Amino acid sequence: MKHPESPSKPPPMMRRAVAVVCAIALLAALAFLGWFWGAWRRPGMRHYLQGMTLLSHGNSRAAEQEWIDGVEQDPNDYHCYAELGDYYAQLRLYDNAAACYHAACDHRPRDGNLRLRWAEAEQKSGHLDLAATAASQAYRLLPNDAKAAGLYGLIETEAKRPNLAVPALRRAYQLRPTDLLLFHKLISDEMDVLDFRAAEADLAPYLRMHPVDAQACLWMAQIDSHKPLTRANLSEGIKFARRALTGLPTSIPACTTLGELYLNANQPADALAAYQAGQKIDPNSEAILRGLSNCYVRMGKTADLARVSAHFQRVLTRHDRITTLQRMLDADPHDIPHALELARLVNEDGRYALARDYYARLAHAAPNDPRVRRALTTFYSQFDSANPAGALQGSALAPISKNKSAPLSIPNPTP
Amino acid sequence: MKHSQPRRHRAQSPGRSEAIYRSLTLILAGLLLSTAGCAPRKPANHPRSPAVRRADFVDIALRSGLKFSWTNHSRGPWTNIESFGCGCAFVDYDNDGWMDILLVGRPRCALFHNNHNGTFTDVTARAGITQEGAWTGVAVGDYDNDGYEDIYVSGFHCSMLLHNDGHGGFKDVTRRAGLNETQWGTSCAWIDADNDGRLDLLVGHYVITGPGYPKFCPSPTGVLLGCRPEVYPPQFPRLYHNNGNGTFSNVTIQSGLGMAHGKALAIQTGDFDNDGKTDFYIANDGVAGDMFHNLGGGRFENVSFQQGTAFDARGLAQAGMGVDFADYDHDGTLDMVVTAFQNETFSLYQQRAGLYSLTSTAAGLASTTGYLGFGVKFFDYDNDSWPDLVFANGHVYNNVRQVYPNVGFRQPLLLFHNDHGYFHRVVDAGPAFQKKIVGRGIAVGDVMNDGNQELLVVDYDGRPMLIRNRRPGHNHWLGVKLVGARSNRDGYGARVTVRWPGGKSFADCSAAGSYLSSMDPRLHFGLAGAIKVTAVEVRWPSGHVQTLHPRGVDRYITIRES
Repeated sequence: MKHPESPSKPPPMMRRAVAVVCAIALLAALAFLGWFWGAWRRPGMRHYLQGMTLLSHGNSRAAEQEWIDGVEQDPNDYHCYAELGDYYAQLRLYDNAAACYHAACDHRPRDGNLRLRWAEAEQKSGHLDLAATAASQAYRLLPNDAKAAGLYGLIETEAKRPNLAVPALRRAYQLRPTDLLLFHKLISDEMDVLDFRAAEADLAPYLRMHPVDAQACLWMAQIDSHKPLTRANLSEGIKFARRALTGLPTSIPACTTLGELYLNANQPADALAAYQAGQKIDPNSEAILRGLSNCYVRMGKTADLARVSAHFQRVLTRHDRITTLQRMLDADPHDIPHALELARLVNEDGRYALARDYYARLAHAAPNDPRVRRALTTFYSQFDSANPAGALQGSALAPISKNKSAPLSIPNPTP
Repeated sequence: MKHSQPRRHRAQSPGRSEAIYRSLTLILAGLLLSTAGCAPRKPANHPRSPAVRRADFVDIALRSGLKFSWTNHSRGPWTNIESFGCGCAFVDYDNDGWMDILLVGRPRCALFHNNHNGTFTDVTARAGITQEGAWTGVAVGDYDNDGYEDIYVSGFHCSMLLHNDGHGGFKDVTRRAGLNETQWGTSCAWIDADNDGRLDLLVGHYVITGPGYPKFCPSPTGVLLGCRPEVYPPQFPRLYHNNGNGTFSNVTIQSGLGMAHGKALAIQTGDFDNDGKTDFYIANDGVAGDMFHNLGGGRFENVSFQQGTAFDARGLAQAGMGVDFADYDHDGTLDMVVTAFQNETFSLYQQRAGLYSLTSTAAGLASTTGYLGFGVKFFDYDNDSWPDLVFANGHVYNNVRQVYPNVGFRQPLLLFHNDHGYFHRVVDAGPAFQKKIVGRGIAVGDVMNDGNQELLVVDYDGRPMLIRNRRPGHNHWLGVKLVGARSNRDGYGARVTVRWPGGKSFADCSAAGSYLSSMDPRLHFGLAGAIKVTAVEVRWPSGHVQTLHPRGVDRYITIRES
C-alpha cells in the first residue's frame, strides 16, 4: 500500500511556541533598543561622547569640562567619572584621578578593570591602604588576571605587608611567568616573611634557567646561610654568594652574606677578605663593621679589633644622632642649626647625595644665612679636586631621599 | 565502653534481677559520665585551649618587715634618670641557706636579713652598705671564690663592688678592684666568660646625658616628657676580666664586646647554642639587641642579626627593657623573652634549628602590647614543669595621661600560665596582680625554702613587694644549689638537666636577667606529679659532667663539683 506524501506541518503546539519565542525576542530587542536609546539620550552619555570627540580633536581642556558637566548633570553615570579618572591619571593628578575612579566604581561595582585603575591611582597618590582595598577587590573580580593579582601583590609589598603580598604575587607569577619584576618581588617578600622553603622552591627552577642572575644567587646564598651549618650547605651558599658578588660587585648584602658563610665555615681569613671588600664600598656600614669585628675576634687580631670597635661606636653614635636630627627636623623644618648639623653628619657618613639634598634644602630655606653659605662652600670644596658631579653620582650607596629631592638649581616639579 | 558488651549480652535474657542490674549500671554510668564532665580539665594537649590556672598571689612585704620606699621623686615630669628605676636582689649573704634581700635605692641600698620565719630584719648599717649614689642595678656573685656572695651595684656615674667579709659585713673594694665607673651603669651580670673558674663582670651602660643634653622633650601635644633614648648618644657595655687577685681588667675590646650597639638595659646569660660556653644577650633601648656568642677564651662575636634576635616582630629595633632565657616549649633549647615599650608586643623568641623566630602572638603574648614592660622572669609558679611568665610593668612618663589619656603611668603585673608552650594570661592571679604599680626590677627566689617561689618587685613609686602564692598546688619540685670547685663557686654557666619518669627539663645557672636585678641562684624545677627524679645531670662550666640520682623530691639538694 502506498502512502501519499503529505507536507508535514508542525503541530499547533509547536507553532504556538515558536510564535511566543519570537514575540519574546522581539520584545527583548525592543527593550534593549529602548534602554540603549535611553542611555544614549542620557546627559552623562551625551557629555561623555562629546568629550571623547573633543579629545580626539586634541582639545583636552574642553573635553575635561564636558565630562565635568556630565558628572554634574548625570551623577549616576559612570562614563564621565571614568574618563575624568583617565584624564587626570595622564596628567599625574593622582588624587583627582583616584576620587573619580572611586566614584565610577561606586556606580559600577562589578567592574574589575575600573577598580584596577582606581587602585593604581591610589597607589600613585600614596594612599596605600585605599589602594590595597581597591586592588584586592579587583583581584577578587578578576582572579585570572595577572595584572590584578600583580598590582595587589605589589601594593601590599609597598605597604610592608609581605605576608599578604606573597599569595597574590605567586598567583600573578603563575599567570605571567615571564615577568621578572613580579618574580623578584615574590622572592623578596618570601624572604621577608622568612619563608625560606617557599623561596628556595621558587628560586631553584629559576636559577637553573638563569644561573647568573646575581640577585637570585644572593637570595639563594642567604637561604643557605639560614640552613643547618653542614659542609654541603655552606659550600653551596658560598658558591652562590661568590656568584652574586661577581654580578653585584658593590652590594653590601652580597659581601656580608659571603663573609657570614665563610665565618660559619670557619674560614675567617676568607671572610675578612669579603668584609674588607665591603668596607671599600661603604666604610660606615654597621653590618660590615660587625663582620670585620667577628673576623678579628676569631683571628685574635686585637689591634685591628680595637680599631674597628672604635670606628663602629663612632658610626653608631653618628647614626643615632642623624635619626634624632631627622625627627627634630620633621617637627620643626626651619631649625637651621640642626639642619646644618644633619647635613654635616650625613656628609661625614659618606652619603653625599643625601647630604647634597639636605644642603640644597637649606639653601632654599635660608639662602642668605652666612652659616648656610659657609657650610655649602665647605661641602662643595671637598669635591674640588675631583669632578663634583661625578663624586655625587658615583656614590652608589647614597640613598635617594623619598620626596624631598630638591637640587639647588631645579625648582620643585609641580604637576 | 567496657560495660556495654556484657550489658547487651545480658539483655538477651532479661529477668527481674537483670533489669535491676541494668538500671543500676545505667545510673552508675550516667553518674560517671556527668562527673567526668564536671571534673577540672587537666592541662589540655591542644595549645589554644582556654584552660587557665588560677593563682592567689598576695603581697607580704610589709608583714615581712621590708620597710623601704622609692617615693622621693620630683613633682614635675620625670627625667630619664628619675624614671629609670632600680633593681632588687635575692642574696644569701651569710650563707645560712636562706635568701636575704637587697633593695637598690637612691641614695642608699638596703639589705634585709631573712629570719627564717617569713620576716626580715634591716641589717644595712650593720653590713656596712652605707654608700650613697644614684644606684640602679645589682649583680650577686662570689667573684673571689671564698664561699661568700659578693655584690656589685651599678649606678648613674657611680658603682660599687662590695666584698663579703664572711662575718655579715661588706667592704667597698671598688677602687682597688678597678671597677670605678663614671658612666650610666644599668644591668650587670657575673659571668665566667673565659671558663677560668673566676667570675668576670659584665656591666651594661645606657646613654650620655648631663649638661648640654635636653632633660625634657615636647610631646606632639606640647606636653613636656622625658626624652626618648634617641636624643642621647649611646654608652656601651663593658666586660671586666677577673684577674684572680681581687682586681679586674677592662677587656671589652679584646673580647669583641666593642660591637655592642649600646644603650643596654638588661642582660641575661645562658648557653643558647649548647656548646658548653656561656653566651649572653643584651636588651638595648631603641637600638638592635645584641646576642653575643662565646667562642671560648673570653672571645665573643655578635650574632644577633644572624640569629634573628636583633629586632622585634615589626623588624624594628625595640625598646628592650628586660630579658630572660628558658626552655619554655620543652624542645631542649633556650628560648628568650624581651620586654618592650607600650604598643610594642613583648618579644618571645623561640629557638628552632639553631635560629630564633618571633612567636609572641602565636604563643599567646599579643595582649602584652598595651603595657610598658620592665622586669620579666620565667618561673614555674605551679610547679607543672612548664615555665610561666611574669612581667613588671609601669610607664616611664609620670605625666603620660596628659598626652595619652588611655595610658596609665601605674600598670599591673602580668602573669602568664604556660600551657604546653602556649601562654594564657592569668586574669585572676590574686590581689598582688591587681594592684597598679610603677614596676621596674623583679626577682624570683624562694625565701621560705618551701618550693613556692616568691617574687620581689620594685614599685618605683611606692614600696617593695614580696609576693607569695597562697595557692601553690600540689605539684612536686626539686631545688638545686651548685657549688663549683674547678668552675666558679656559684656554678654560674652550669647546665642542670633533671629527669623524672615521663619528663625532663633543664636550666642554666645564672642570677642575672630581668631588669637591673639578681635572682636566687638556686635552680628550681617543677616536676608536676612526679614523686621522684631519675637523674640530675650537671654540665659544669669546666666541662665536667656529673650525674646524680637524688632520693626524694620537694627539697633542695646541693651538688658540689667533683
